[in-house]
Amino acid sequence: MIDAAHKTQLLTFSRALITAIEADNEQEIEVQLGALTQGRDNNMFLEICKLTRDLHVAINSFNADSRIADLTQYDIPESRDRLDYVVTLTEQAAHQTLEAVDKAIPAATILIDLAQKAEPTSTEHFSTINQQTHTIQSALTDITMAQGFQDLTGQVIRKVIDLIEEVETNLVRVIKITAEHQFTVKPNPKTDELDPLKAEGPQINTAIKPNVMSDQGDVDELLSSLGF
Amino acid sequence: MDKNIKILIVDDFSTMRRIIKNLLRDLGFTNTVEADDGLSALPILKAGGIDFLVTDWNMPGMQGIDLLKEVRADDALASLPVLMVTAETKREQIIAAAQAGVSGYVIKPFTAATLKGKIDKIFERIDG
Repeated sequence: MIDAAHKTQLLTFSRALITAIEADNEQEIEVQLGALTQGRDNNMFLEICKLTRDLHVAINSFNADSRIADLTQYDIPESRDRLDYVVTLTEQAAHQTLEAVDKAIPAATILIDLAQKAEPTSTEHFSTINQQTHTIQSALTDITMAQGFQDLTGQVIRKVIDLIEEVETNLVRVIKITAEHQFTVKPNPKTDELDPLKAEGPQINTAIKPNVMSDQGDVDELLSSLGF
Repeated sequence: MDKNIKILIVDDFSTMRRIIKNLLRDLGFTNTVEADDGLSALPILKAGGIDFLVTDWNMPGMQGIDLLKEVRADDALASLPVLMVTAETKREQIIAAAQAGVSGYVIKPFTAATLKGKIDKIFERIDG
């Protein structure tokens, strides 16, 4: 919404402009066009002044704030190490679990074989042993599958590490620029974001992303629509 | 289905390679080899003897989609069945994989039954 005074002013200039156009008065057209657009230029000029002032204050306080330097020097590299640590530890834990499963599976298989051999001559106990060992076997498969979390969380953590590194690089650049009082930041075009095929790792918040499949059923449906 | 076929598992996470290897073992396939990205997988494939490729998409070096394209572009490998097992779930990506000639597409996290179902389907198509 434009304010009432501004509206009146714009209408006055516009009507005068129309009158001038109808009268083929080129000189008056120029004058009225100038009057119409001048307000805009003034507003833009004021905005730029304000921005420049804000930027100046921000840069001064940035220089004075040693916390930013600490962030890039210590905190950010450290948080990267912490995330690396999480990836390493979950990987170790997943492997330990899989090793334990590897030992348990042959044991369960031997028990099943024994129970089956003994069954014809035995009591109901052997059939119970047989059933229960099958339960153990399928639980071991579930445990194996559950270790897939390490791959998925690892991919997400690596993405966060990449982001942290990007922030770090940019912060270092800003610090250098403010230190030299130069204003020659070049925009960094992010071409990757435009590539829909770029690997992104596990998707978070799939509900709000219409082009993301939420389960294997969706994938199968899409593939079958493509003739699979 | 011949259970002695040689299967190459490509994933940058050793945990996931191990899980897939264990599942294949449970399904009776014990002849497996591993690689941690497309770049290390390609020489193994080119050396010959691989009957089935199971690959992730998101990997450093060469990604799974590019590995798939390399495989399809190589006369000796063009008909190799390729199963993609990945966390990449965007519509565009699945279509691109289909167009590049993927044989099956499983999204992570997956179940043992899903993997088995997709493998059965791929070999049914080949054997039938």
